[in-house]
Amino acid sequence: MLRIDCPWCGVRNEDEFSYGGDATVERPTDYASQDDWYHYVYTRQNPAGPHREYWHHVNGCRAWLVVERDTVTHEIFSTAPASPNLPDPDGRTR
Amino acid sequence: MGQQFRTSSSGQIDRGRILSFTFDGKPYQGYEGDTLASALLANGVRLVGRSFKYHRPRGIQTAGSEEPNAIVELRTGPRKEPNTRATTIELFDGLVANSQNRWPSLSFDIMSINNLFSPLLSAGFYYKTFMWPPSFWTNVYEHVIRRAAGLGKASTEPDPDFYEQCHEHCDVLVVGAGPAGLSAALAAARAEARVILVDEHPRLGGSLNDENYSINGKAGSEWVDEIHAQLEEMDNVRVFTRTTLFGYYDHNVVAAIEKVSDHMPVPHQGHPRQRMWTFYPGRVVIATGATERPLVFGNNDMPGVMLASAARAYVNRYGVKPGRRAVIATNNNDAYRTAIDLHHAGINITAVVDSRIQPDAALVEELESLSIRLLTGSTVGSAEGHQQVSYVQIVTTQGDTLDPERIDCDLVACSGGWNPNVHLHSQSGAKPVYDDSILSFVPGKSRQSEVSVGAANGSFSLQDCLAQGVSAGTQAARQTGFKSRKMAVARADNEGDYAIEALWISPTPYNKNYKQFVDQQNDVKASDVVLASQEGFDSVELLKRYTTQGMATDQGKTSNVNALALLACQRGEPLPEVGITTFRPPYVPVAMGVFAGHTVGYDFMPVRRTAIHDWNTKQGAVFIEAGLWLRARYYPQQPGDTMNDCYIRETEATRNNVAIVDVTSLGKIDIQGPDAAEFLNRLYINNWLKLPVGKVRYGAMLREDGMVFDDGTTSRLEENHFFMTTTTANAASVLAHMEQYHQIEWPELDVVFCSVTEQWTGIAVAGPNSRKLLEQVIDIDISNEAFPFMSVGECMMNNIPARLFRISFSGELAYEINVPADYGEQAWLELLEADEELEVSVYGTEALGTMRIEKGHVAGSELDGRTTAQDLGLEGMANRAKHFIGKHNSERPLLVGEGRLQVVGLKSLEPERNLRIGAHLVDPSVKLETVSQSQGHVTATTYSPQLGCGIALGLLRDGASRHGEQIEAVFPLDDETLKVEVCHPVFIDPEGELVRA
Amino acid sequence: MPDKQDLPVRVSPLLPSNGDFIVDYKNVRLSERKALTAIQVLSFNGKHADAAAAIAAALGIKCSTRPGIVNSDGKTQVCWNGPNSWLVVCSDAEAGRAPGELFKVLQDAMGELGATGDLGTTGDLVTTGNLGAVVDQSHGRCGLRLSGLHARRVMAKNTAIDLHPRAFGPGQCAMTSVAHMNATVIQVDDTPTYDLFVIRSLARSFAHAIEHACHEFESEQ
Repeated sequence: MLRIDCPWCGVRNEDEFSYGGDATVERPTDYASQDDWYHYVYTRQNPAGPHREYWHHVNGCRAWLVVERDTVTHEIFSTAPASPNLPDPDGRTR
Repeated sequence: MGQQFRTSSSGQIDRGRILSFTFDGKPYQGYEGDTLASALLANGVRLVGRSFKYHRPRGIQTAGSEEPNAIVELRTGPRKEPNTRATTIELFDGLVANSQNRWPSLSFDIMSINNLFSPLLSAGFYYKTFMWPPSFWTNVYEHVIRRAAGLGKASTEPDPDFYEQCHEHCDVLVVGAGPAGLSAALAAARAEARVILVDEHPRLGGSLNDENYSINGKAGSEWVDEIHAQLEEMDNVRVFTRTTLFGYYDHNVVAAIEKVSDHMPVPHQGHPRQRMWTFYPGRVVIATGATERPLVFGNNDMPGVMLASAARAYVNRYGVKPGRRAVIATNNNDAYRTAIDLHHAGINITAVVDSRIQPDAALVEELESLSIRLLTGSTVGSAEGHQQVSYVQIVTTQGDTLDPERIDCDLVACSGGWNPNVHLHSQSGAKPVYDDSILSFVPGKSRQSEVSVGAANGSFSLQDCLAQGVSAGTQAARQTGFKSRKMAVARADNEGDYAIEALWISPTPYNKNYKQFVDQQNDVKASDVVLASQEGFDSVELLKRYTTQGMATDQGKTSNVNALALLACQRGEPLPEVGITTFRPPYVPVAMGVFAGHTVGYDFMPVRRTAIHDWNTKQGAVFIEAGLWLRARYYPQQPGDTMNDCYIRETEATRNNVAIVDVTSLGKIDIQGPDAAEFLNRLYINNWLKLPVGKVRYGAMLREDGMVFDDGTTSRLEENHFFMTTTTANAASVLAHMEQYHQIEWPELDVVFCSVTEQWTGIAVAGPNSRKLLEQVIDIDISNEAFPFMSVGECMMNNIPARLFRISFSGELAYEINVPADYGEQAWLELLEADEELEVSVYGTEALGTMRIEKGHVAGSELDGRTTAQDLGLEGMANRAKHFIGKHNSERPLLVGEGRLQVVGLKSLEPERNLRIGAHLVDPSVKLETVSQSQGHVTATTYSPQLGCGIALGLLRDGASRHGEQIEAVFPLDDETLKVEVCHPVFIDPEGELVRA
Repeated sequence: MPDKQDLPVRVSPLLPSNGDFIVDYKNVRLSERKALTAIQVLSFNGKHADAAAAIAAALGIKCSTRPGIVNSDGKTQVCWNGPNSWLVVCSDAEAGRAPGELFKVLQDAMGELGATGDLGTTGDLVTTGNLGAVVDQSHGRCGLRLSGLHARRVMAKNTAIDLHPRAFGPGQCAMTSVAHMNATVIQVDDTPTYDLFVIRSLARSFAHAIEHACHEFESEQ
């Protein structure tokens, strides 16, 4: 079982979170090409090793997080808020 | 004549507390502190089971959870539990146990004929024997195999006990309360770390209970009691006995099973039978000791053959003589202590047989002083006897097998060396490494925060165990943030070397073929390992699967290393080259019930109930599960009412008069902020910026791949305040989707939102008389002029604050009223009773479904994740001049071109026949044979009271342009074909006059 | 329009006929906090600290911007409820407030939400002074109070979070999974006493699971 360190809630069990996909993929702009949009939805790397993923703390504070995780060892290197605009975990307005 | 095999005084049993029990129906007595195994041995019972494959007689081989042979069925009735190990069952008064895998009786078992046909049952026999013909696989082979090679039978009655799961956190978790574990726990606890100490036995002490060691000049057990008392006094320590750590998972999460009530006839009131613990330790100290391995010789599975350490444990811990005349066979120094302890307990040691040429001089001297005969360079070639050992044949390790000496005995206590219990270390993801000095595997490099100490670390000296424990406990506390204090290491008074020399298999007397067992629980012989290797299954993983070695419930605790060594011999390579299989949880068998915990019956899963639930229940409503929700499906009015009777009646009452339905389960999301409208505009395909306050709009949202995700109505309550509804099914995922886009993609949008699904009870009021009904209870003007279709307003319903929406799912003049949920039931009752003349009725989800099909509203069965807005006839709503989620991918050529499945209405052309969900839509000129001939399928069906025929919605290739065509709905599973007409999906009131009336 | 004082009796989600839910053993007690007022406040972008200050000023109770903190004057709890959210909970009767008053107080504290009227004709939005949104969740939450010597052991059967005094104490709250359901856990005192909030529809499943976990202590005298 993964233990994910939510920046707001602290370390919680994996079953409080839901996996939210590849965080290295950037959503194209509204004016991007059809091809860019196709790749955004359908093509993914599947790295064995360190990877950046979205996780949603759905059974907790409901924040979306970016988790750096090794897909082989399951080691987690960092966890950070996905939103630049939510008040930070120290309670400071950003 | 009971318990004739008791020693005169030794042991930790309470001879004052006599317990009665039965085995195979025969009554026996034992003492408090016994296990079933020790009590059976005390009564001279040596034959306790039949082996898995060959049905060979088997006895008690060990004194712990590694037991491969003494597997029994415990208790009777609903508490009957098969495949329990007699060596771990604590005796209680009234215990009932039975042997298993034998028929008609243990001493005469018909299936033991398998023993004679064993050449047919060698490694891989399943794969070789039961191949042809395939029709025999399930009908014949499985039947025969299951009957012949079974274990015990589980009870089919419901388990009267319950199980539960618990969580606990700590800084330092110490596994095993032997000398190393106790020292570690005390050291960490003194540094004030939060410590958990677990041990699988009822009493702490581990091996100290089995041996007559002394520490600091005191008996080992006395030292254990002192440490235990100190630990109990500290409130930063929790001690768990009868608790086995069975799994080591990622991120240092470990799981244990606590046998709360297994040692008593029935659990105390309110107490679980067993409890599963999930521990979250900062650091784990593994002090799980070591397991002795047997010697591999002919008939080494015979009752009376036992591990040397087990024989010692029975004498020292349980006050039982496991035999009267013993031969001790060994390849190391350790078993000498068995000879000495057994001798002092009054057992006649007929010989110590040591495979080494030059045993330890001090031990040789000690045996001499006790007048015990010692044979060196020799080992047991075979055990002989009928159903139990009566003599052994001794061969020399140099291969002199033609003149075996025969030594009479009823007990062979053997030691092939010790294997550190590296299971947890291996489960944690680390790789054990081979240590040539002890001829076994020891922990390798840690991958998680764990360390093994003492025998589990391959250190078999008591002094090393005590020292490593203190050191690991101190360090663990420091590593988890505590200042460690110096703690003195206790002094072990007895020391000796281990000095093992390899003996992996014994020569057989006269070089005859003997069954030399490696894995006794799965009946895997040395010859099976050889055969598997010869046939090419010579990697450890293949060997394991081909022979099933190590795959029984004991997970090969006593057999793995012997099997690996034999494979290495066969391959002619050193053992480390062969490698080791990965240990996986659980370390011991764990009852399925404990994984379910208390989530059975009422607690099987959480259930969501609306405020109308009790009223619905009282009315005898039939419920349907919608996600976690329970929704009223239909309301039988009299005995014999079928679902069809009900939904037709409920539909007609709505269409002709007025009826109400509970729609609480729809998702509701409150959205506020200056950018709320812009946010909605990006989520939905249609326009939101200009929706006037006080108005409702139907919206559809797509996923990023262009498929329709969800639909529902959203109201503008104030300039910057919206109220969204979602489908019941997607309520949670829509909220998560909104959070994802708001937090990740558009953080600049100044909008906040949260679920308010639970705050409101939703009641739809539908039917031509709905306005008339509401006018009785609502305090605002709801005339068509003042409150037209798609209006929203705040109001009072009698004395209940409410929000009123003029929206319709049924196609009738209709409203939805939301009231705070604690008033939901009252609002429901007031609506039913508001107007006596109107005879307001209720309807369930079945009638709701009928009316939505009649009205052609798409729902979950059409929003199947593969349909676009265009497919569903919603494209007209889309504003493609703006940007919204899914816009780009919904414009891909294949999604907008011809050949798409599009939503259509379907009418049955045959009276009294309804369409079936899932039926294929087929051109009448084609006989449906392959799926490519299918042009679509039926998604939702009903009988329409309004139209007087069966109708349906379906997805049909290019369906929007095929209205009026006659096609067939084919249901191949039942060979049904129905003529249907394709039509517009809106069957009634296509202009929407009713809803606007 | 009837006076708010004439509101109907609030019906608990826990038992049919609005019965009193109670588990009362010597060392553990579980009861419902009936008819609670629970108001969720969500701060707008960049207004988190201001919103907290406004709540504190309006209620006379500290309002923490830091996660996992709950402040209380003994009657009203101001509970961290997510990165930009608080949940303010009280019994109106105990806190001496009229029904609806707390909502109004908090709404006033957050400032006008914006101009109302037809956006199609008015154009720009009035947003200055808005600190956050105020949402009534009173009927959407069921509140339970678990208290007694064994309360932590009861919790340990249902939640994976660490409630040991070294890790969690009075004045702290957590949003987590309890008995497989989303819940907010507040520690009230070091008896210990916990307040548990769960969504209304799950009230019975939730209470049943907690009650089940209490049974072990039923026979203690």
